[in-house]
Amino acid sequence: MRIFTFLGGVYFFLYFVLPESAVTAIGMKAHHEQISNGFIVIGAMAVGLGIFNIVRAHGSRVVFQRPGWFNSFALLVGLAAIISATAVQWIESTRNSRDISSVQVLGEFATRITDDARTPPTDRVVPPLAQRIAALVRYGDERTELIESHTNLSVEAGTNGATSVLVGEVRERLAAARVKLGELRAASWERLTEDNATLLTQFSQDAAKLASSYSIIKRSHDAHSTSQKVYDFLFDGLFNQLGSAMFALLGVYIAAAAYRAFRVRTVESGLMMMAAVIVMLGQISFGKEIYENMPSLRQWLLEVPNSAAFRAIRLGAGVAGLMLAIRMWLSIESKSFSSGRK
Amino acid sequence: MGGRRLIYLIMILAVGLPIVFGISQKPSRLVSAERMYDVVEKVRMEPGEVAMVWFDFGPNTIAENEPQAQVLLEHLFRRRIPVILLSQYQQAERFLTSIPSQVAKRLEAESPGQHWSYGEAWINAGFRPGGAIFIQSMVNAADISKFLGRDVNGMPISNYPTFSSIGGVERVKLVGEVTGLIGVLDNIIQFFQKNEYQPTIVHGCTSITIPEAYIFLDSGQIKGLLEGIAGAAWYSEILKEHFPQSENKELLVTNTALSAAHIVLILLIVFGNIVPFVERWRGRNG
Amino acid sequence: MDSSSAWSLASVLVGGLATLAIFSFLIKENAFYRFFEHLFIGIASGLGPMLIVRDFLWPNIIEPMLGLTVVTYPDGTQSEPYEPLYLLYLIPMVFGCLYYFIYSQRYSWLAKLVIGFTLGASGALAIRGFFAEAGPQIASSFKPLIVFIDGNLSLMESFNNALFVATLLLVLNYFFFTFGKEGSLQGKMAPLGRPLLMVCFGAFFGSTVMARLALLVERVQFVVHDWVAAVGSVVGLG
Repeated sequence: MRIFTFLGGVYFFLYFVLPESAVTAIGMKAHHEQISNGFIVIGAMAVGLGIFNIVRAHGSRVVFQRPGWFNSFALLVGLAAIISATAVQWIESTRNSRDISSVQVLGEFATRITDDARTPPTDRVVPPLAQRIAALVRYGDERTELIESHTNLSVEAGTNGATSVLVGEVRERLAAARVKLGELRAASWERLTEDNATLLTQFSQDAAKLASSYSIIKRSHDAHSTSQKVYDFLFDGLFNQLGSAMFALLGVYIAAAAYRAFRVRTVESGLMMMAAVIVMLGQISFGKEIYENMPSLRQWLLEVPNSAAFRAIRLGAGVAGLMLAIRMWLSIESKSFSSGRK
Repeated sequence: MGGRRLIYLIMILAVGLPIVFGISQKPSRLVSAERMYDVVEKVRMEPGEVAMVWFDFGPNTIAENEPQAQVLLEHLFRRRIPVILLSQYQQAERFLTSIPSQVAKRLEAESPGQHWSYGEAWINAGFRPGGAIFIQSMVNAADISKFLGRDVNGMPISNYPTFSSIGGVERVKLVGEVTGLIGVLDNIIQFFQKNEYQPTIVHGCTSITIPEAYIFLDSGQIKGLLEGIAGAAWYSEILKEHFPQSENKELLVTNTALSAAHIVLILLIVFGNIVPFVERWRGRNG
Repeated sequence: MDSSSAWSLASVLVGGLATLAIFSFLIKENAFYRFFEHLFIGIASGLGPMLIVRDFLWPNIIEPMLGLTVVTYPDGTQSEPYEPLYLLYLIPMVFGCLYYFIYSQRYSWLAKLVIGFTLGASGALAIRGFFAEAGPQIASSFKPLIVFIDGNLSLMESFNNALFVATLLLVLNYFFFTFGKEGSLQGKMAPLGRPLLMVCFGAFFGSTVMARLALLVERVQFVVHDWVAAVGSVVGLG
């Protein structure tokens, strides 16, 4: 148990304390991204815990129709709705990503052909140049047709000003890519000449631009899909509004609390109220009408006494946190945590 | 009980009236916002260098963080500084898409013929979980475009010419953190640094974290600060001073409504202290 | 009205209704409030996990592991060879799944292994985080007590710095509970930290008020502008 806690921290501890040369020499730097991802994965695997708990607690209330079962039902409906809406929207989005990727391949493939022709790879076998170009041109023809049909569909679905600019851009880039495809088809590909290499590079750049415009138009088209609208409705219409409203309640409660509870009975509470009033008046539009230097007074209060006192609190808490972190990592204070099963 | 409801009603009316009648007042001058404006204004970018702005807020703090995100992006867009947008907080995912689009649309409407398009002015790298682990991993990456991989559209970030080869974290010249969450700014301050590299960090905070943010402003760990709606409103005023076509009426109305609510609250505190005193005095004198 | 506008309108209408339902709590707790409150919790609890899977687990872990990031070019060659090392992600995945043993009385110790591991990692990160954050904080606390600006003594700056340092030390001293007796100088100085802390808490309260009221302003703005207009358009249509 303790060894697991220690192992959990040892990697990051070593990564931070070892000199960069040592971190590089032992291969930590090269795989740091993947190892860090591994740590995130461990936490990410717990995502189901919350859902499981909620379904267990509220599901049983609905099934056995215990008091408040209707509210539990509403909760489960909300949960199911957001999970399904996100899942459907994600599936559609993944499908579109594949579609976009299939266009990106054009530019990447052209670059790869040039690279391989210049420096033939030793670790894999590649087909002859002419054969690769023929495959590129054939694939390019297919993709450009697909882009054209999708762009036409977007136009048929209705365009606004912004979309029509995008559509114009895609069509322009599509025409440029087709011209280059024609030139690729016409050129001789016995070997890679400088002219041919330039042609391939230009095609690769045009194809990348086409892919990026196409991805934007495709995504803006998808933004009008039903799944996206359902997701937007749940987020903008319910989640966002309910979240804001819940916290906005505190705005009125704080007013009632200010009237009932903020009583000046001692010098200290007087100081507290004075500071609160200066901060409030200093940041509002009417503050300077009451006293011209109110914003400066507020600034001074926040910069000097507040910052000093808050820094003392932070440093105190920080040192305590550091001690806790060390004790936690070294399992010095883990008796209650590892005292076995109960 | 009735008294409490009366207070609720007064408060809602105090907030509602300026909104209904569209009353706007010049916001209070906030030095920290001016400092932030100067930082954003003076940052110099070489081709390939970028700003990285984190939106780490959800519906619970959107009231303050959204206007801050808007004014910061407006300034960056006006200066044509390429921005990578991302978030440590899943609830911000939607705002990463909506806010830059709104700002770009507004700027395009203001300046016909000019464009701020996705992929050139900004990219959306989406929600990235992992907090501190993610940030320290990104900081150590050789190339941020490769590290981030794909944007929310599924496109490799390296496909966008502006963001194609950013290189290491040293090429991030400005870091913006707009949040109301505890610990999120700390993640940036603690882990967004490497060897000699210390980024220029600007921060948009909710009012509740203002006192805490000032300690970082004093130590220079953040270079500029937007304090709640008031900070965003003053920043928008500075923007308007430099770019007269910039529209900030709605934000000023919001700030005025907020100011009216403050006045009511201060009066409530004063009455809350006077009323019991008067009642005691009356009790003593029969 | 096209379908996009209809969805937006529905979103605003339902949003306004939801806001009013939550605000009805100010009058009295009621079924309308409780219904929307539960709906919110349901949506909030489903959103996070889905986004973690969608935005992290799938693109960063599962896709590379399954080789879905390898592109097959039109001539049958591949963009890169499949990297079997990605299969090592199965180790943290399986290890992370141990969390679910928390529900088993018999095997709950397995969940403790992964909780311990995560705590260890957080501890190590916190150690580094403390030094990275506190270093500049401590350094900037050493302020010159006598400040000269352009060769002239600045009384204001000197006073500010002296007050800053005094406040910092007095508040730090106030929180020393581990040593120091009542009769000692440290004990005698401790009460001086309290009023300074109160000034800080006052600033904190003033700021908190602003944060809470801002949320209220945003909601009232939404109801007055967006919702009323949406209701108006529906009534107009009807």
